[in-house]
Amino acid sequence: MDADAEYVLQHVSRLARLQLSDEERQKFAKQIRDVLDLFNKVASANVEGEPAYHCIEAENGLRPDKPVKFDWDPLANAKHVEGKYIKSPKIV
Amino acid sequence: MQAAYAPFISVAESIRFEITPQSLLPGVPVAVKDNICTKGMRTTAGSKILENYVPPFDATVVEKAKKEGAGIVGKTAMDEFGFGTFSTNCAFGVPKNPLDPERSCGGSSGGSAGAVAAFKLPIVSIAESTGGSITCPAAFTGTVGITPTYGLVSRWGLVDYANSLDKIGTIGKSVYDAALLLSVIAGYDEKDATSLRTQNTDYTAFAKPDGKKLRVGLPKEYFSSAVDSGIVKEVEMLADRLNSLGFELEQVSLPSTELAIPTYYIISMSEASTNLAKFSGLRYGLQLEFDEKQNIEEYFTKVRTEGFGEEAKRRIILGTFTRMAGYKDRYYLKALKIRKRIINEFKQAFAKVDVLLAPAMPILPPKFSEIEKLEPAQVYMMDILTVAPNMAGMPTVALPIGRINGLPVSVQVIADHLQEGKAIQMASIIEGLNGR
Repeated sequence: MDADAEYVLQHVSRLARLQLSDEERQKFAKQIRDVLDLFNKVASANVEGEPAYHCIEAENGLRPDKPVKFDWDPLANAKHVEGKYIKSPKIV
Repeated sequence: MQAAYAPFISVAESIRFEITPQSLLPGVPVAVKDNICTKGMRTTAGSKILENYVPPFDATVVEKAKKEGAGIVGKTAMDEFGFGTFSTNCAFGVPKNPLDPERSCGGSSGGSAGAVAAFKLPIVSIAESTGGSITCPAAFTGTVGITPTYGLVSRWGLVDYANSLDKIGTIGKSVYDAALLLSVIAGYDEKDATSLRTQNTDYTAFAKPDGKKLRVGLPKEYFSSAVDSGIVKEVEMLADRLNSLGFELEQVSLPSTELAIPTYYIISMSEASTNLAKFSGLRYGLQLEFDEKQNIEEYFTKVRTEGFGEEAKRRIILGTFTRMAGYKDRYYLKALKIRKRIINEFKQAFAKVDVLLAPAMPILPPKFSEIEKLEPAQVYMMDILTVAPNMAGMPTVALPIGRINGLPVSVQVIADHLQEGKAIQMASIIEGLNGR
């Protein structure tokens, strides 16, 4: 499973938008290998049937589609605000 | 108490109680886990990425507690986003166990349990569990923790860890205290799409033993060699005592327990890795300066890299992996199938018995010096007794039954979905045996 651990560290961390320091990379290598060993017990288990995305049967909890007023400011914690907009770094 | 045991990340500067003659919690101090939003009061979820976050609203559970005359005394220390078993992964100090400050309060709701154990006041805590974060700290501090059925308590205003697993619950000094707070915070909330349409229930009515003899199941996998033999012995002694009092006891089997830990961690990390994408550095939380040259990708990466702690990074990376194209079937989907099997095994057990009785944690509260030596995979193994009921969304009450060398030994009483009444009733009977 060594290849997988290496792949996870190098490739997946980039996809996950995390930049690991050399120190983190070194420390995580064995830890991730150990956890993957644990996860491989699931991968190698013989199990059929339906997946349980939820643990309890419940009806769809959508609320009525009508406008509701916020009694709080959704931008209260935004730092880079211009008027009623949030300023972001360039997208393209 | 804060200086000695550090249960809080933030302490209220002043407390306002709105009391009426009908209030259920008149003047009661309530500690709130720091991943539950409190209006005007910093809410960090134990993470640097939310260091300065002050919510402009109260979570539904906080609003409900305040409406019943309670006052929020502080926000309790926790593992970052709930990622831990000992509350040592907190960016703002580690809570110490009031029974022995060299030992952990457990996690991830460590501060919530620590605050209840530390103060000689009728204090209660609003806590939260994803895979055992109420049972574990309740067990390590000798307090009572109720993890309700998934969906019984609104999650609106909770900083989510894993949406299909998170449950807000309560910790108190007695079964009655924890049940009273649950009665206040439970109930349907249209703001939470997963909220169950239940009737308001007074759970304290179940905290008075009425002589009814419940059928008790003992899941054999929860008494294995992975559990400290002293703890097993205490729980077996309790079972014998119940038997001699006329309770019907039956051994049951939950065979998928052996896969519960990797199954739980695959599901919870998969969900956490998508959940934490909301910390984009734009609307709230850590927001860095940027210039015209920087693009959103670089900015997003920088915010996450600076804001998340070590365990959060590990879980994001692993959770991204387990749900990636090419790996999803092997890990995430398979784990969901095992979860289904786990739920079915619980349902089969509850066709025969009213409640399950088992040790709450496999170890006594460890010393911080022992915790330091553990690797992440070893820490995950500590959740062997709690992840399965949590994955199945079954209500659980954890309570102390004795001491070994001065350290608390606790059991968990597990019931079927929405049968918290039975779990509270059984817990109350056990509490009564210990002289309360």
